[in-house]
Amino acid sequence: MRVAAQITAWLQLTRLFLKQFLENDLVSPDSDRAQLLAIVGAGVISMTLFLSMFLSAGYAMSVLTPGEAAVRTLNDKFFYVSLAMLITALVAAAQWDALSLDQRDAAILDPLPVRPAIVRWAKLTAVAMLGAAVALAVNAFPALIFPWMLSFSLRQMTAGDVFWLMGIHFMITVTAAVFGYLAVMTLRESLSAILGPKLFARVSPSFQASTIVVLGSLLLLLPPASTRVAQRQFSGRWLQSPPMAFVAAYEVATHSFIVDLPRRKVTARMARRDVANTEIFEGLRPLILPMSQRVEFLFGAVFAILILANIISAARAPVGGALLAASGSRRSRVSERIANTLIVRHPASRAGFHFAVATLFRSKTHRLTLACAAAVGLAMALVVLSRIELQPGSLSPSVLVVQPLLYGSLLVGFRHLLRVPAELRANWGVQLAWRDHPRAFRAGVYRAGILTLALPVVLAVVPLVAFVADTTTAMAHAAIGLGGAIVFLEALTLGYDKAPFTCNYVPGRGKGVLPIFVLAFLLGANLFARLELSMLLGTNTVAGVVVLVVLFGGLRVASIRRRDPQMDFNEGPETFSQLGLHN
Amino acid sequence: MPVLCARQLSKRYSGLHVVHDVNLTVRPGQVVGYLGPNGSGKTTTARMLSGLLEPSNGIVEYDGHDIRDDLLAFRTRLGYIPEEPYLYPFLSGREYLELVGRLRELPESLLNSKIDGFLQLFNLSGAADQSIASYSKGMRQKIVISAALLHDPDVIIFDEPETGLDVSTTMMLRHLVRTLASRGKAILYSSHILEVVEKLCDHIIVLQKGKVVADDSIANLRTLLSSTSLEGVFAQLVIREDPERLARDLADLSALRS
Repeated sequence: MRVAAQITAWLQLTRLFLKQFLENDLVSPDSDRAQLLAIVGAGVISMTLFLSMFLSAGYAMSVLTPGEAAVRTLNDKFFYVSLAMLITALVAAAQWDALSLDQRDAAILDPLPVRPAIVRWAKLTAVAMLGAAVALAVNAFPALIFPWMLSFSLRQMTAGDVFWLMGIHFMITVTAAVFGYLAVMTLRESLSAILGPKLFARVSPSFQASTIVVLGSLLLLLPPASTRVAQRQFSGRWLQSPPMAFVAAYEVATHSFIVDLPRRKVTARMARRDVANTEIFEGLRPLILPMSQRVEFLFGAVFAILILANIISAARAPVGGALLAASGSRRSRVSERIANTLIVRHPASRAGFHFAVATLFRSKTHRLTLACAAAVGLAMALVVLSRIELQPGSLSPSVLVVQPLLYGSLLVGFRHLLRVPAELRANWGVQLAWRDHPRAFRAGVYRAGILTLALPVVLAVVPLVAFVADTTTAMAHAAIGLGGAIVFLEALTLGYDKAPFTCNYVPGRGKGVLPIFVLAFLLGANLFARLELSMLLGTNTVAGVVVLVVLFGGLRVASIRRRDPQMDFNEGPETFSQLGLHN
Repeated sequence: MPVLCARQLSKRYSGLHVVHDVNLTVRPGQVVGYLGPNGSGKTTTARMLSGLLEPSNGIVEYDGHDIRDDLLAFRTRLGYIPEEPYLYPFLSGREYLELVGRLRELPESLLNSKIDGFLQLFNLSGAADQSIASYSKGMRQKIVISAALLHDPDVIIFDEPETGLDVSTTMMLRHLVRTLASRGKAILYSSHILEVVEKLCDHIIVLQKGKVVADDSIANLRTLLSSTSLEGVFAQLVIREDPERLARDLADLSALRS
């Protein structure tokens, strides 16, 4: 094959793989890719623009001494480095299956007269281009705004200092973003190499979801973690964290020039603050150089593992690494029989129950959304727990609220997913078999939601409550929590009148009131925790049970009194008919 | 008396007639062939007959009643095998059949025994618990055929069912169609494989650009058009270009080097 032909093939394949990043279950194959890219790009850029303006606004409204600025900017540097790292890592985790060649690629590309090495290089180029694009989009505005706004509160900085700081900020945050991206790729590739294609295909979805949950939770916990960095992050476990290595590299690259800026005439109080902060910073200086050297080690390790894993995977398959979910084992008939006997008895309920369990955990879109919902719940729970001291005998609403926050987030995600078809083109099968028992079908789906999402969370919190109270209280908390989850799901689904997972996705119109819902949810969870505490302490047990029963009963009556929905599997959004496409 | 009947059936998309004034009847025990070239409107007709697509004009009757009056009741008696076997890729073959069977409210024990039987007869037992994403088109088609027959329907619409099937399964499918017809099922068999239609069908309807151009028994059509085979009949009714010349042009184009 001539060199020119090889380059053409490489370019064509790179374009194909870039398109694959956009081609997923969330995006219709007929959608306009340019429009989608514009929306996503605008979303990322406006978010980083808003965040950097919001975080840097304080600099524009205050005057800082070099000592104060040196300590305070450590918070921002930690935030921006971690943000860049986490966002690119999240993008990599969201594109999990597209990061590597799969069986479909192998099936299509193997028969073509293209060398496997070119296919692999094209994939690598496309993956690198995606990572670079995200890294640049996330860091462009913060790199301009942060140094510029800092100069307002630190008049000693010259224009040259500002531009220099912009360059260093951009370089360090983009490097951190690349590291985050590579870290997820390395995780995926090493798992694939260690487990082998078949086993990896089986566990890959769980790993992807867990990675998103962890990264999403860390992202949500980033703002509270980005305070008092000089006092907290330069000791203990924080010292070993990758973001701190990049923060140290940032300081090394800028020669920590901020603390060395000439002092201006200030008030005595400001001068004292300057001295105190300069002392703090000077105390950290000996740590900075050794910490920054860990960046090289981190990159070296990630690259070495990634290359090794790729060599192992390439040796296994001619083109593709991991297989699509090709292996399967029959699920337990015992658990199915138990579910059919105790939980779902009507055939339509059984259909809904088992279909929901499969869809929630096997459909890529549904799994990703649930992972995001779990990340939000986990982050909220961790924020709450970080503000209290967990000791035996310290049962408080803050401990009890963890459970409703977790199952609440998951059930909100579940409620959204009910409207998202599992595979729209396959819904003809359901349409033909449909016997018009929407209530039974939905009941099965809702029970699947309670059993697979709320119940595990309720049980997971039992050890925590058992530690701060006792086992009996923990079991009572679990029972009340399960009741609460059922009531909450009943409330969430009151206005829903479609067959879950099978109808066209019609966007909701309530986005404007979303903040009110979020506020109501947080307030409701808090009130519920307080009510529950009084029930568990025996002061308001009867009243609490009555409230739950009345709430559930009222919601059930409201639900039953609603007219049976007219099932429309092919409903289009309101604007659709204006085009006159379905005459 | 015809069990399935379409009258003046039409479908328009943005003013363009895809199917125009199609009339057809299928009696119990009869296999009606529905023939036509690609894009002639066969699949659109099949989807309207199965109630998946609403006609722009005309009605479909089952046992003398408009199927729209009680679509659910009609679908309990209908089996439909589409050309493109779109299925839920994350379910296994067994799970898909269970979903369909439960939605059709078949008793659990009967459903399980039927599923096991279909999987075994279609030689899919080994792959029954693998996800459908890993199935070949032929394997998916077998799952679709099983799903269509699970509830013992009276009317069966086959829309180019042989696509992707191997030789032995295609032969088995032909025998299956004949056996089902002999047991009183009304069958509409849409295809563009003339050999299969000639062997299977008592009566054929030929569609060209959405319009019916022939509706008779194969024997009558042969006599009318003085042809010895269905291929000859089809060529006279539908083919407007000389296939030999077209094949020559294609081969020439393929051989072009600079």
